[in-house]
Amino acid sequence: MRQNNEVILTMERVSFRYSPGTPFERLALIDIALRVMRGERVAVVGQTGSGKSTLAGLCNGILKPSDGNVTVFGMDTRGDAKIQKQLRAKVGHVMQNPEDQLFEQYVGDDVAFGPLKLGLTLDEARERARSAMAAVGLDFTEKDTPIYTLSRGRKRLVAIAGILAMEPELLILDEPTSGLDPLTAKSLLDSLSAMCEEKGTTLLLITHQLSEVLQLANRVIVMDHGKISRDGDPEAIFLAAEELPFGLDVPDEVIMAKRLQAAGVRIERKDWNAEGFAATMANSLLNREVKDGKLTKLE
Amino acid sequence: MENSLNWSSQVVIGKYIPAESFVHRMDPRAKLSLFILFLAIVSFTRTILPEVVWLVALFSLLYIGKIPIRYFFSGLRPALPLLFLFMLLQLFFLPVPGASRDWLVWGWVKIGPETIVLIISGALRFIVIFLLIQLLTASTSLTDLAHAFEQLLSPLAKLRLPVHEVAIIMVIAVRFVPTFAAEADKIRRAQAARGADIGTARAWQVIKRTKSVFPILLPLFILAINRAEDLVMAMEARGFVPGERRTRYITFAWRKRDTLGAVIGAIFAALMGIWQFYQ
Amino acid sequence: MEHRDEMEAPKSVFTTRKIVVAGVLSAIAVFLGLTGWGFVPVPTAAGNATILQIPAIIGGVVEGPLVGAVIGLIFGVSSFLHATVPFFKDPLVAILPRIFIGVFGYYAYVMVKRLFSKSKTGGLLLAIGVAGFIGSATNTILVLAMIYLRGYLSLQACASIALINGVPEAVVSIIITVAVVSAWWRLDRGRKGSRI
Ligand SMILES: Nc1ncnc2c1ncn2[C@@H]1O[C@H](COP(=O)(O)OP(=O)(O)O)[C@@H](O)[C@H]1O
Ligand SMILES: [Mg+2]
Repeated sequence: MRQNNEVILTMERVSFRYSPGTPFERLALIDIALRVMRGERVAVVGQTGSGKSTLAGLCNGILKPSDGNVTVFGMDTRGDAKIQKQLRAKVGHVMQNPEDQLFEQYVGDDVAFGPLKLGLTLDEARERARSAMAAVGLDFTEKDTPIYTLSRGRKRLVAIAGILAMEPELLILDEPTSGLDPLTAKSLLDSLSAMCEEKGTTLLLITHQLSEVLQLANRVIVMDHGKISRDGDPEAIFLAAEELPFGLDVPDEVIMAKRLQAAGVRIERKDWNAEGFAATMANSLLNREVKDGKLTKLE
Repeated sequence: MENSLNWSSQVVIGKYIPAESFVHRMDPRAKLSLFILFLAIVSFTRTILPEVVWLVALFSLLYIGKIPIRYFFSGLRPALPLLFLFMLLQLFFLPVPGASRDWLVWGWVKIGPETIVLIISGALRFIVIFLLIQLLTASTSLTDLAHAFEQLLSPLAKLRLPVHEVAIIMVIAVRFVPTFAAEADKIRRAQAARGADIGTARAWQVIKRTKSVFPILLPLFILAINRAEDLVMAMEARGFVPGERRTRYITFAWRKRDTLGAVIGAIFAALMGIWQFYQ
Repeated sequence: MEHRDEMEAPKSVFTTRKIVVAGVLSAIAVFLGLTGWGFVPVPTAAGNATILQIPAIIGGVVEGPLVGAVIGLIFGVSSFLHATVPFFKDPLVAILPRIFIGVFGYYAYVMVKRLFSKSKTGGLLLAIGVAGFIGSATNTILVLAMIYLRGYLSLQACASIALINGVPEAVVSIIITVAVVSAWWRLDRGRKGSRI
């Protein structure tokens, strides 16, 4: 995993209010401090309404902090139009349900919209579209398909390709797999993961699925009522928590690993799968014996 | 623009200010009827004095209705610059047909006492109607208004006029405004992230500029269409039949004081109408 | 207290679909009017071209004149309630003319479609475009006619505004109406393939 010590995103004492000064004012983020390094793959989890999407919106200047500073690639997100333009080019933001934002008649036009807006030529945009569509598992011949003939899931892929085609250095994905069938979801994440690996893209993945965190992330941030409640290694956080308090679907792997840990068996995260569990259990059983109906360690 | 677009907070009809007052407690059907009657009479006022009387009457109601006068002024203030600009414009673009005593004639610009009266009475009428709307919406909740509308017109349903249908359409419309507001905001943010820019083409490139709103407008309409399809299914699945009178879950109790209020209001309106007519 | 009509519900001129489409499109018209979204930055006398008439036109084309009329009515009421310009605080200017936008748009659509009943998509797109034009022109002409009749501005002033505002607004209206309705009906708007 390419990763160096270049900080690409900093948030300092950031708060965010929706509709400030109105009766509908709502404090969505409170006193956030965050640093993201180039090449990190950060997962953001937390209950609905905990502020995940707001956090994402602050990263490309679409939302401006009410208090504090957000610096992305060395640029203050409150900067002028020129800075905004650079931010858009460097930060790709796939919002929730991005398929609702398609507006062109044909797939190819929508995917190429972003690159063309970046000022690329038609030929360059075509190449960008080709590789972006490949990255999400769409065949390039689908460029001439009318969008309305696609299923919701495939529209989602088109919308994601539209952001990938802008070749962002920081890619933000807001619940990209919600509503997708498990198979499509898995393959989408696999190919996104491969693409980030290849291009050295920094990833910020917002998700409800802890299994996706395990699959993709090397760092997890847990949001709770507008604050970052935990931040660190996914394995450590999932295992250390007494019970996972996030109101999320706890994947079987985590339950299994936690049970094993409770029984005093350490298991590394790369082994959090059926084979790994079986091997680890077998291994640990070899060192034990049954004594008075209980397992005990061999002397 | 960011915060002006926090749509869910937008008020569709006008702000309802709850209070305990005669105006608030009046039967919404009485209020709505009087509103329409007043509006009809005011609309045809062409002179200054009756409008001043209207203003006095409506301000008294504002006072009786315990609606803060501050609220009225804060609503009116943003409209004032335009009002003055418009009055100025009228000075040049409103020759009164048949006016004889013009002070100034210069090409098609004719300014005389009739013009001035028309301009001032037009501005006053604007303020009267503004006040009338605020009086109604500040003292009556949207739900009450919708039901009052439906019940007032329900005799027309007997004549096979689609009163109930139009009432439901209005309810759906009001219900969906905040939804679309929130969605439009999301769409705008998403397209901005993709570098969409509205109206940066040259001014005379009308087609290009129009197409620059496509990234926002088309998804919004498509979303509306999809919502509509879903809603049709949901309503039919729950046995909705167009034209069937809905179960009334809100009934209003007409009281003596409503009769009193309505009669006084109607007499006042009639007097004003007669006065205007003979002026 | 509950009471429900025991009679068989008489057959309504509305279907569920018409009711819902009218409601949703009215919501768009109201929303566009409440905000800065209802304008396209195309130069006119008013500074921008309004697109608030478009939902009524679309409703008329897609679901018929009645739906078009109701959307126009609701758009008119909303524009009356929120008007900050003197002549739009007059129901005869703000509400009455708007009822006809979708109605005339619909009849324009039907007539052109009949004329070109042989060519399939092309004729249909043309008919939708004409509806967009007529609907927008209806709005411009009737509103300004009322502004004149109600004595807010002189005939010359109204006529010049109708020209300066009406033409760009009609063009904008054609483009957007065609784009939305063809997306709705899944019509192919030409090209038969993407640009790339
Ligand atoms: N456009 C908005 N206007 C007002 N409040 C909002 C808006 N968007 C989100 N919120 C509020 O801000 C809080 C955080 O929302 P969000 O960031 O969307 O959470 P999450 O993505 O974790 O579900 C929520 O309480 C939500 O209701
Ligand atoms: Mg979210």
